This record gives sequence, C-alpha cells and structure tokens, in this order.
Amino acid sequence: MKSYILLLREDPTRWEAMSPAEMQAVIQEYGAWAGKMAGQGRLEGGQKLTDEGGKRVRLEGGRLVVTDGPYAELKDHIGGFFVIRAADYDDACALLADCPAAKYGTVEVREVDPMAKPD
Amino acid sequence: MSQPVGPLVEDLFRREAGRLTARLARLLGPGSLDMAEELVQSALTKALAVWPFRGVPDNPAGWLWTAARNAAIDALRQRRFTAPVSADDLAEALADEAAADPAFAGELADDQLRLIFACCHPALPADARVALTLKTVGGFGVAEIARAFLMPEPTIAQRLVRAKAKLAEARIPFAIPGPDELPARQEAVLEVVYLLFNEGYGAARGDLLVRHDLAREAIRLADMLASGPVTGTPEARALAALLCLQGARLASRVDADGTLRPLAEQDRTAWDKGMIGQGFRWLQSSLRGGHETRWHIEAAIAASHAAAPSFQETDWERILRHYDRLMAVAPSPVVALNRAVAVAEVDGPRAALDSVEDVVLDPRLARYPLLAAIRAELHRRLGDTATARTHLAHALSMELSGPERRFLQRKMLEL
Repeated sequence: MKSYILLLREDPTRWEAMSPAEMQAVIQEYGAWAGKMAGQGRLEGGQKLTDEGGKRVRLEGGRLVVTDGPYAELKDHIGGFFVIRAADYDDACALLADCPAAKYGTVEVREVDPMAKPD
Repeated sequence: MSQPVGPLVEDLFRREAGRLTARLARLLGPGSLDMAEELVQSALTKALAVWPFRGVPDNPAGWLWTAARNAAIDALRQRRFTAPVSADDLAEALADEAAADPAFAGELADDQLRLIFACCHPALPADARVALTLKTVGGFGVAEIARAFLMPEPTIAQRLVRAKAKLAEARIPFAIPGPDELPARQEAVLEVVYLLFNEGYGAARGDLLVRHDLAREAIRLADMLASGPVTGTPEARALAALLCLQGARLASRVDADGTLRPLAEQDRTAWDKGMIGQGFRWLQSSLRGGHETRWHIEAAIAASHAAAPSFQETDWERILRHYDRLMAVAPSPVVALNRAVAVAEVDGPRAALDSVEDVVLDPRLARYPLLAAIRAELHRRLGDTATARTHLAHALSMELSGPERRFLQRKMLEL
C-alpha cells in the first residue's frame, strides 16, 4: 500500500446558498466516507487549511520576500487535505467515488514518494 | 484527527438555525433579521468547513452556538451592525453551556414566539408570512420553500427580501404582543401555522419528504404557542389539538409503493398513539374558558376519527353535527365538500351529492381534484359507473402529487 494526498479544491462560497438541511446532508456524506476509509484502515489523516489563502515566500537578493496569496481562482481554493492508503492511483481514485469532495469540488490526487532506496 | 461519530440528530442544522436566528434577532433588535441570518449561515458554513476533517464534535449544537457567538462578536467589533447589547451580553446570551438548562429552553421558546409574531405581522402581505416564518423560525431554505409551494425560487426569494425590508423599515419589534393586541395578532399566527401544516399534510403537491418536515414543523410551532404562558389561549390549544390528531396519521397516509391511502383503508394501529394522546390533552384544555372557534370544531372532528376503532365504527352522526357547526362558524366550499363525505355515511350518496350541488358550481373549486374525486366516489356508490369514470378522468387531468395520482389511477382501474 502507498500513501496518497488528496488536495480538496472547492469554492467556499458554494455553501452560502445552501439550506441548513442541505449542509447537514453534506456533513453526513463526509462522515460516511471518512468513517468507511477509517474502517478499512485507509485513513492516515487530514487537516483543514485556513481560508485566507496563505503566503508565498521567496529569497530575492538575500532578502525574504513574502507575498499573500496564491490568489487562485475561488474554485481552486484548497480547503484541506486527506492522506489515505491505496494500492495504486486507480485504487486511490476509485475511493473517491463516494467522497463528497469530488461531488462538490475537485480533488487532486498525489502519490507520496516513499523514497525507500536509491534507484 | 478525531474519528467521525455516528449520524447527526435528524434536523439538527435546521432546528439550530431556527433557534439561533430567533435568539440573534431578539438580541440585535428590529431590522436585524438579515444580519441574524447571515451570522447563522456563517456558523453553519464553519461547521461544514471543519467537521469533515475533525469529525462531528461531541456537542454539535453547542459547537454551532459557539461559532455563531464568535461570528456575532467579530461582526460587532468590525461595526458591521450596532447592537442594543454589549459584546459581553451578546456572548452570554449565546453561551453554548446554557443549551441544556431548562430556563434557557424557556427563554429560547420565547425568542422563537417573538420571531413568529414578527413574521406574521399584519404589515406583511399574507403570502409572505408563511415563507418568512419557514425561512427564519423553521430554518428552511429558499429552494425547499419553493418546492413545497410549487413556486419558482426567485419568487420566494423576492418575497423574503421584501418582507424583511418591510420589517426593517417599519421597525417591527420582535415581541409577543400585549393583551389588547394579542387576539387579533394571534389569529394571524394560527392561520400561518395551520396553512403550514396543510401544505405538509395535504397530498396536493410538492416533494413528499419536505412536506412531512413542514407538517412536523407546524406541530412543533403549534405546541410551542399552546404551551406559552401568554400565547397558550384556548384557540392555540385547539389548533395544537387539531394538528396532533391529524399529524398522528401522517405516516399512514401513503403506501409503501407511494399510493395515497384514504382514511377508510388506513392501518389504525400504525397511527402515532403518543401524538393522539397529546392531541386529546390539548383538546381537553382548549375547552376551558374560551368560546368555540373553528379550531375547536375541526379538532373535535379529528378527535372523532382518532377515537373510532375502525372506519365502519366511526360516529358519523357526531361528525356531521360538527360539520354543521363548522359551516355556521367558518363556511367554505372545502368544508362543504368534507361535510359531504360525512353526509354520505349518514344519509347515503344521493343526499351527499345533493348537499354539494352549489359547491360544484363554485369557481374556486374548478381545479380542485378532491371535488371530482369525491363526486366520482359518490356516483360509483350509486352504481353510475360511467359518470364516476368521467369525474375520475377529470380529476386525473388536474395537477396531482404522485401518491394522489396513483390512488386515483387505481380507482379508475377498479371501476
């Protein structure tokens, strides 16, 4: 089994138009998915990221230049991430079939390179 | 990362949205409904952003209250509204710990009653009152209200915007009216609750699940009004009795295959006995002191049905006497039509058809499928299959819910 990072991209304004009952339904979908992943021993972790968009840092002529941003389009905003275990990319992507993050936004799937031994 | 816990209490978000909106509206004062709704929405959105990662908290309602409190205090600091209360008072009134305290529950019910009276204020157009009550007190979304009333979403949204603007402009307070004003204002509130229930109970239109939510919400509001020390008038208790007695049959009204099941075919053992008991208790206490209103008579009719061990053993003569009084107190073509069903059981189908001779000409019932369906049934009992078929075909040509349509189609096949 390998580790995969799931980057959750969703437009946070999407929820603003939802009714309380619809929002509760989304939470329940997340709970069901995360519960299933945990039950199969596939869930390694996950965190929500803060909403302000973070910072970009670069060294320019010996000076740290810090800018706000990435100023991605709202729909590309990364709201959080999960780390799951899967056999390969096909397996990892298939696990997203009932993940609400894929239904309400886009999920970027990246394999963690184990870097076990030099090639 | 905490383990995701089991499913949330049904309606938790909707219920807490209604409770928080009522509390915030009272704290922030007249004209604050938009702000209150915005703060509640931001608390729910926060939960939606956080809970998927950290799991559902141990006390979800308390978490939402804390999130709303933080949002309110932030907004106050940013001077996004001016509150007649200090940040400390605001924080205390939105304290999550208080949620389990019975005194707090009483205050909260009062807040919700205050909001209902504002939403049903005579300054607002009648059609906006129901929508606004559902949105703010009930925690329903615009799309859900639109679905329940088969109206386009923009129409409902516009109604809500105008109603809230009117409340703000007229500085209508969130308050239970004083004794002088109460009877007239209360009548408007009872009307809205009754309409809400019928919208949910009647199989006429809309989405089944949403309709049951509406009916349950109406029962909750009627119960709250009837229990209130000021609002618990005989009329309010009679309405609560009516809604409990009818609501007890809610789950029995549609078959497993989604066909409407009329009273005669319902499994009476499946009626909600707890709710029937509650209905009888309200009916009993509604008789003290007050005069007889339409709510009392309608509740008495529902009680006669609830008390009958079977359709055949129903005391139709008693029910017919109730309908006669109802026609005297609150005459309407729909009451006359329902009365005809009782007439048919007491004096036969011919007398029932004669009793609705005038009603069939009423233009208000021209597109009312129940009229055609009842006429079809009465003609069937008289052995006039051809006429029965004509009326059924007419009913089937109208706008019907799925359960209603399947029921009438089955009747057609049986003819």
